Amino acid sequence: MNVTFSLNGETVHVPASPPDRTLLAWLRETRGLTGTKEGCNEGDCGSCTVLVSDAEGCRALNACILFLPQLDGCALRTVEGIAGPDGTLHPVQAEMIAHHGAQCGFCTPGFVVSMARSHLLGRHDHDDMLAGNLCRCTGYAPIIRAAEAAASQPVPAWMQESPPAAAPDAPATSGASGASGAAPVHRPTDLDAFAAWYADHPGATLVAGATDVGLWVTKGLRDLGEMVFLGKIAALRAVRQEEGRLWIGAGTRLSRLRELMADRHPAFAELIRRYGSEQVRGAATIGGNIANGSPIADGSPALIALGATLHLRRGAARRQMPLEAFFLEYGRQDRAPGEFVEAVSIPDQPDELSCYKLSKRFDQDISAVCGCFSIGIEAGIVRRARIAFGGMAGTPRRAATLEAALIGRALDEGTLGACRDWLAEDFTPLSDMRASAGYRLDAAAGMLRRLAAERGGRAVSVLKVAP
Amino acid sequence: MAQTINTEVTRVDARRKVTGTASYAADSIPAGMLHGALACTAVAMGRIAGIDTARAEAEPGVVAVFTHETLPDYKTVKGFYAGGPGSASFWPMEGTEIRYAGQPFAYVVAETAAAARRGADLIAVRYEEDAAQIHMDPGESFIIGAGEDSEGMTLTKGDIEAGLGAAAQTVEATYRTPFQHHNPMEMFAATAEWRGEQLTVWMPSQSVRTLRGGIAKAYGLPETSVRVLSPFVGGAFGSKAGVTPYAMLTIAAARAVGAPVRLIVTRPQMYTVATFRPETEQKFRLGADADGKLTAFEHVEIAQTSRFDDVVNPGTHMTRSMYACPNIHTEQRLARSDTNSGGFMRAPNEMQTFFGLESAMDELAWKLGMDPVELRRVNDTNRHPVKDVPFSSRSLMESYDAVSRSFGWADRGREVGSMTDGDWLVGYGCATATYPTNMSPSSARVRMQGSGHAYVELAAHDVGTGSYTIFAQIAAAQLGLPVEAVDVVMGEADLPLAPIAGGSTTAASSGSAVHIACTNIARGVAEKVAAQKDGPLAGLDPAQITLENGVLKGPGGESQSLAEALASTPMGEIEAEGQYRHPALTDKALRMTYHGGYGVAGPVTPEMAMFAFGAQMAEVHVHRYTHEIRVPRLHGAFAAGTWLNRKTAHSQLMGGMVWGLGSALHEITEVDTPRARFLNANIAEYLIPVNADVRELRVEMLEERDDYVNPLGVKGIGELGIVGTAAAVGNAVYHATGKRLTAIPMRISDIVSA
Repeated sequence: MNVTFSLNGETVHVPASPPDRTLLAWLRETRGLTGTKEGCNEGDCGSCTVLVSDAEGCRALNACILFLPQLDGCALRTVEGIAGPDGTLHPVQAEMIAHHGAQCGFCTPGFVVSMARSHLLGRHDHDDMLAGNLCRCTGYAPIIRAAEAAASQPVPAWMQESPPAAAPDAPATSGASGASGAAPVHRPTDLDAFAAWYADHPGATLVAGATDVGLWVTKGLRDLGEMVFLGKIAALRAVRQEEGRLWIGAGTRLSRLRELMADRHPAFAELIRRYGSEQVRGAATIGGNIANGSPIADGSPALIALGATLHLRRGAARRQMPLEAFFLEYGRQDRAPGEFVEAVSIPDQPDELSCYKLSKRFDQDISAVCGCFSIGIEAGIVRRARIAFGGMAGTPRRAATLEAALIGRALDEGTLGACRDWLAEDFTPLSDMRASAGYRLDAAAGMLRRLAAERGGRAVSVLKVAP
Repeated sequence: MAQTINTEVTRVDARRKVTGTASYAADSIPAGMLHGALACTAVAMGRIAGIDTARAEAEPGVVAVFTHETLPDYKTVKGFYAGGPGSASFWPMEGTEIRYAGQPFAYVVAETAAAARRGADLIAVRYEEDAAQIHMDPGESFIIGAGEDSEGMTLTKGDIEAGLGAAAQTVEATYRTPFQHHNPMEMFAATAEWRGEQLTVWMPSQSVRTLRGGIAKAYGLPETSVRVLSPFVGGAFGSKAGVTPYAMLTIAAARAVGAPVRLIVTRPQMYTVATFRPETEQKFRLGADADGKLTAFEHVEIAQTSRFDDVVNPGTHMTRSMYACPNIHTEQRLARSDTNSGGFMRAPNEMQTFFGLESAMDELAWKLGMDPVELRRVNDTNRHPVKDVPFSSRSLMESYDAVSRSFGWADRGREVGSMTDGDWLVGYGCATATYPTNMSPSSARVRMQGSGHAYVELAAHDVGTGSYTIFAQIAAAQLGLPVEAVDVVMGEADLPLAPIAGGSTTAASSGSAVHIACTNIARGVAEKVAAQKDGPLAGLDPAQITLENGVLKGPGGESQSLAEALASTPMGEIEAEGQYRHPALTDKALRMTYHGGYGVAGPVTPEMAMFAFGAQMAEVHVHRYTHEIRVPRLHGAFAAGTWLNRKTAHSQLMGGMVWGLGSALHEITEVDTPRARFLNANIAEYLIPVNADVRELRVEMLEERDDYVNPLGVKGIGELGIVGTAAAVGNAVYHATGKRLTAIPMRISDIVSA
């Protein structure tokens, strides 16, 4: 089986096997395109950022945790393809030169690619768009100035991509191996057929955005065996409004989820802005985020606070549960062999959600505590409360004692002063390098003070640096 | 000097960097190249009891697996602190001994990097594990032994106890700084290719000559048989200076498999296979009279070191150079623990010691009820406090005055907690920055053509700082050429001698050599045209012909551009070398540099003390409820002699301040104490500042003239910007909250518990 995509405008056909070969390794070792740099091989630094375009738009992705089969049918552009075919510099390149945006230059190709995408999309929120690119020399300001200076210049003609036709698909569920002896690669398109096949092949590794699975390979050095790439199952990315709920397919990327939440629950959208980076949000899916069950994931606490339901499927059999019930303990979820996350759904509700993420670094940092509060206050009295935390236990969890205690009370000094004790009944947090147990309890209680101040009309967003 | 100096010249290498065509060490792929990977120990202390490589050897793509028993021709060199070029004195894979966690114990060669790394993971190893301790115990510290190199490790001037007794106010405080890792964006890499007895090594390096000399000596080869190439370096900050085990293992492996081998050290392995910034404790006792004049200054620095090296970066030498005081006592101490050897990391002692000193000065100012800026003014001095020689130039208070204006220092609330912004407590803090001006010997070769093109060649390095650009500027200014007409070739050991890219020496030292080489070019051309029959300068005494902005001038007003004059000669081309040596450089230091070491004049010579100075101010917001610390404003003003290039210099200072901010709030290599290993060995959890952490950051560059330091009047600035930032932030936290944080990074939880 081949993978077909365009590389800087030229259509290429590449064997899909071995399926755990990363794009970065292929670019540098096989194609000799060494402009794309290896800075961490873990999706943290953005030195390997490339542009990937398909029918759904243009994304900036980390090549170090992107497997070749994920590129089928896409247009790929590396730093070598950002300047024009005749060597004409892209406006972001010219402005990076003029504004001294490159020092040692190692992170520069990644920045240039991210900036070219912002430029293409007409985006001006450079701080967010470049949050996934780390620089150790410049202090960033020259790079931001370069991005601003380039913004008003037209998009060069060569940046308009039309992705090539994808390689002919293999039958939806049958394996198609590449090199003899290598593990089979699967790229199903039909959801029902995939569900039936996976029920019979529960040992296969499911790959959606690969922001976590990629690390199993590059960092964990694991042999993933049979790999199933889910990106071609359109039904898994379905988003629809039905029966008073918003159904979000498991394959929905975090970048799309952020758009979906922007009007419904802006606090959740704002939380997503700070989790991962453009590169990670453009690849990672909500299904993968939930299924891998990180205790410190920022998505699950918000979804739990919104009363989300998780939809699991094994073959034709479906079951559902409140999302919080899925997380059994650290590293263990309520997912049977051959079962997969099909969707998560959120009941329609008035927006009463507040989200607070505490981390040492503003962007791209794992939360010390992430608290999400759906709290309805009527005439000064709390009438509804669903509260969930990440970073307070081995799994994302609801704060049942706190919820029960708050209902029927005003968020006055007496209530706020008691929150820490209620939280201490709900949680026994750990001390680790991110924060001490005591700090976690203090900060979690502090979030309710902040919420009370906010609902009282004072602007106290943790997401903003004052002034 | 012509207009290219002290202007904003655009980097000459920028186009290559933004198009991805700048070639870093790991971008060169010799034909038939294989890939290496290191396997590193999980335990910190003990012995390898057995290694089973069978599964690794069976892994598809794996070509060879080498252990301490099976790697032939593996050579090592003496460590830096034992007078050699090596990054540490203990070399892994010489035997079974394990001295630190993450120590390489096997080397895998494979057809792909992924296969090599998988192979390394599949090696089964049995350990005999001993107890290990990763944190130093300050109670077990010792003073570096007596001897030639221990000069000034302890120093007493006057009577410290008497000075404390006479003081109106005293401060006694201890500050702590953590292990830190450089984390350049470019990972460590080495590619080795043998052709018979000819070896080529591609490796990002701050010292190509050190590397070549070390390798050649280890293999008994003439230096001409070893090529070391490092044209572009993706950041170094001190991490790429020495001859490291990963380089020597790759060289040996390439020889053993008979093919070129490239190793890219993984990001986690970068935390253990090279150096780092050791943790320290800074103990101060200060006394001052009622006017703020220091009556006693005591500083004891205790720095962590390994069991096998005395890693000493004498920070007390710096702090005791700072303020006037009649009674001074300093001690430079070390305490051992079970790590690889630390080394140099940007401002290798100044970051730590000035966090301590400038925090202590702030405490003193509060006790005295003095404006902290005025406390610095009262104790400013024109003479070195210990050596009693004048500073060649010192613009400390000019820096404070400039930054006070830009920052609005006068508008601050005078009491702790007197400023708020909504639920944020607001504080202002200030601190001094300084960095020694170290002058290394250097050479440079310049070739000029009458067509108006010049080539500058030297074994210097551009680790991102802008050396390519400033050398082109210096040559262009003197030769009267546009900067674009000068090509600079660096990063090769075969070129004329240049120093290690460390200690902020390159611009001043090698820049002076380029300057002298250009002067020699002019002299050569003047001699030729004076001897010719025709031409405006024909027949003149060449000794009376001078060079000014690329124009040769005779005593009677005759003139001709250097390029025209050169074009009129039969060869139309001329080459000259320039050798720079500061008059105060000792023969010993000169010899050291020519043998791959780090020999400098300064910062204190028999006549003068040479330092650059600056002042930094920080505005800090601490949230009343959740105690997050944010730094919305960071301003700095600096004076460092001549600014060669206002763009690259500004960026060096600004980047340094961001490093300082990182040290203040984020950067720490966390430690797993029971297992004696570094914990957050990746760049997701070792937090370097991201774009959003850096808000308003302003750098002011003051004019300063210094004719003593070198012909160009340049002081080094690569490290100056980081010094003082952490103290300025901590002092602002105190102003905001009344809480004195004595350890960095300052965490939200520290505010709770302080």
